[in-house]
Amino acid sequence: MVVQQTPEADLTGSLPGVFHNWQGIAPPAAEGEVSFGLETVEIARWQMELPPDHQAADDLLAQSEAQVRSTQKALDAAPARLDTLIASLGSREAGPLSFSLPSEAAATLPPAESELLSWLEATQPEAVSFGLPALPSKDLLDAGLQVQKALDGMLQQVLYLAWVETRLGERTLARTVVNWGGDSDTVWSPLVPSDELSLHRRSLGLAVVSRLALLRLILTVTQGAAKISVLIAAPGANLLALPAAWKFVNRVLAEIEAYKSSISKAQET
Amino acid sequence: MTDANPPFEETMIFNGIDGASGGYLLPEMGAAQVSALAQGQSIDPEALKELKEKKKQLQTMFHAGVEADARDLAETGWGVIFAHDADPALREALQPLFNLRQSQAGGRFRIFGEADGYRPDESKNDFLDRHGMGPGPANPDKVPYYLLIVGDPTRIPYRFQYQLDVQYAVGRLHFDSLEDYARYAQSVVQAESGLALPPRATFIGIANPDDRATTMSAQHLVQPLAENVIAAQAKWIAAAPAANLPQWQVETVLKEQATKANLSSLLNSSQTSPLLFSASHGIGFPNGDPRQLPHQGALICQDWPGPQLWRQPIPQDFYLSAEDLSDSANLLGTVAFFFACYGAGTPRDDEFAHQIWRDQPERKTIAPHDFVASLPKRMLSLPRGGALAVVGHIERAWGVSFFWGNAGPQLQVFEDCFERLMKGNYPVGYALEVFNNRYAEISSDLSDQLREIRDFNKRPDDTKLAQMWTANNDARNYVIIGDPAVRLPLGPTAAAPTVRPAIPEIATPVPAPPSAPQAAAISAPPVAVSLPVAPPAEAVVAGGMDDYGLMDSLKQAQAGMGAALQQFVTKLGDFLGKALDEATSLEVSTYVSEDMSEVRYEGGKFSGARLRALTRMEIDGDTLICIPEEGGEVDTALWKIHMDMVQQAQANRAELLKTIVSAASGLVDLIKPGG
Repeated sequence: MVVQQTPEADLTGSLPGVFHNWQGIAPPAAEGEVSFGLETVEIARWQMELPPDHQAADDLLAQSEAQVRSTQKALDAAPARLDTLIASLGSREAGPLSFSLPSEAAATLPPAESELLSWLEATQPEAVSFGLPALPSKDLLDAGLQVQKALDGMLQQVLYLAWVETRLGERTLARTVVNWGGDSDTVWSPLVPSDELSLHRRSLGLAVVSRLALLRLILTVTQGAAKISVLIAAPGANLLALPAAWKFVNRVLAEIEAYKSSISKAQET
Repeated sequence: MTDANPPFEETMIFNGIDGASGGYLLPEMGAAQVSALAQGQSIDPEALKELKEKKKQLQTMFHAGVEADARDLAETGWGVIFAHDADPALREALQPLFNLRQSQAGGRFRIFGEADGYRPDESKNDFLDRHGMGPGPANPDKVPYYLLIVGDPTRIPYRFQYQLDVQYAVGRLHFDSLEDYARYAQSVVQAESGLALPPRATFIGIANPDDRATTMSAQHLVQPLAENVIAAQAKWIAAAPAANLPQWQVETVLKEQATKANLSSLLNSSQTSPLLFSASHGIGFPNGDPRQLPHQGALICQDWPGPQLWRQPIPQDFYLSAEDLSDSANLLGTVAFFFACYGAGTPRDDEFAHQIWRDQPERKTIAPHDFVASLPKRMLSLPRGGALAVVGHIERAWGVSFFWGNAGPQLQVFEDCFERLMKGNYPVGYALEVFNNRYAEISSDLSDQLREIRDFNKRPDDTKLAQMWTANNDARNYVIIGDPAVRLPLGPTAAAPTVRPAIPEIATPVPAPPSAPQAAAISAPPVAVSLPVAPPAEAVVAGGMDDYGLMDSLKQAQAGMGAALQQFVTKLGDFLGKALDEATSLEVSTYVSEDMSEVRYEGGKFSGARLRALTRMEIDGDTLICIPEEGGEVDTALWKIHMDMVQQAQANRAELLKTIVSAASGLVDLIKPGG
């Protein structure tokens, strides 16, 4: 089990699978004040709780590593799919956009694209007189603000120093504090046998790449929002587009993870 | 999935996947386009004469005039063709194979090398002419029926192989090192020295979501072929109960089962079936892409989520390439058939697409030179024991191979080929004759149709003509990588365990033969960074913390950002800048604590723990290392732990920098005008 602090705003339920195993816990206050020079520095705790059996521990790490790799790949997929969809819609400068595709084309679209098109269609404010665009609804603005706040919280999380701790059953094997530049301080228990050393190194590697994946998720959503916003004829389009981008990116990740999971399950049966 | 026959156009889309973009290698083509292409095509009159002759023979024996048993090399003969200037060391490396074939073929064993070897730009007819043969069926006293071409297709071209293959059973070997040639020779000799593998066949059918080509091949080729082979076997055995025919066990690996992990473990297992068949997309890359030579023709597995869910470059995790076969793999005695684009090799010039677009008068160059695919090369040259042969496609494979217009699925050619391999235990070259026959028949019919259109102004039927033209090219391009005379080394029962001995280690330090340039094997695609001002990630790592204007560009771009997200993006930008600052040096400390519960982290270091080792590396290369001692001696155990952490920290930092550059690039794209 990997345990990690999560941001306050509650989007964690819709985070990609790779982050699902993380549970919010308190910062390591019980272990002392965390400070960095004169400045108090926030620290994010990543705890890997491994079963005492070595084979089971190895399997859990391998499964987590595979999941992170899969998520990283899926994060590559979302921008390309969004670009393709937007390109198929044409340019707003060329005239009013239609988000209704012919039924044949719509039937072949994956759910992420279909949902985004539906959302865009529903979001377009009706034209008003005097050439002024209509203001978006309060609900839409609230949703945008909520996602922005959540992303902000996640970014804070990413910015913290990472405190990575590996526990094997009841024993703590090692702790590492690692900053963004890669500087790391590790404290080992001298009682750790040599065949358990790699478990912490793998936990540390997993935490580092998971942190990078979270950063990429934030960035992908932000970029996605900017792209979607050009399709929205309303003030504050960037903000309005955030929930749509969040949903689209996570839907793409879920689709790809579901596909991967389906072939894994089929192999087990 | 539907049982209804797909329209003809669906047979025109088996174009492979572009690994660099994730899209199809060719846009889908309509019948009219292909028909126009066919009408602009001329068939070499000499080749046509040969093909028509071959078509006539289809009604008689496999080669007229000689009532030979295709399994007996003493009757059919066996020969090898080298380029006239081939490195003599090649012959030395293959000598064990030549000794074996000479013992089987006797006086009909021939080596065409040096002055007798293939000369540059020589046609098949010119070559045969020099050796006393005109067009027509083989006369093994002059030129043997089984012919092994040895060498790179830039020296002995595919064109020559295709033409020769019409009347002869032809295979090709080309490896990157002499050791590989020697390993292949040893593998064949070992397989024919009493190896008895259980008669098992594995049929692999990939069907990627939303992909019509693989859906069709899984549904209309792999699955029914496996079923038909099982049904046919029951008939063979019932018809000849005393013949002691091998009792084949046929298994299928379909759709979700056909993942890279499964296929990789299948090929790396000592229990691999001796007969493998797969239908999938083959991967292709743009001309000059560093992945093209090592990966083109690799098999795209079920892991690819299809064109709808995946619209970007294809990662190596989705395809099975030569690099996925470990040195411990042993495929001794195996014959594989890959129905996949470029599965056997790639020509330098496109053979299909160039004429579709009339603004391209020249054939499009799709590769730096002709080459044999790496996967079959690797399969045949494994250090512990290589496969006997891989049958595959040069260029693209098309649905018309197994699906014919309104007539629907056409598996007879495949079934006949497998019957020869499985029932008759015929050599691979003879089993593939059925594809050559098909090529001859289609070519001949196609030329007749074209003549009627050109000479008698007959109105072309675009669909039929397109089908025939594509089928003609498709049928021509099946080739054997390996010795065409190899046969499956079968034991009597599938229940027996598979035991594959290892071939002797090839220890001779032999230099690589002269060859066309080969790209080094690579494990990952290059990092593509579209950042307008920043260097690629590697440059950042190598060149220190000069950000090449990256952060300035970000700051400028932020000015144009809408207010709603500006603060957030600014924060991201500041963070990225700070992360780069922190990466000017790398410091790794290792502590030890008897009581982990007392450990605190204060002022940038641990308290309640003893600092035992420290490494600090500056960006200019200055490195400070504090070595732990125990009783005046270096504590080697702790030192190793520390150095492992240093190594990991370096890897982490490289990954971080790559992500930062990519992230910053994304931010610039996000907030630049029009972005």
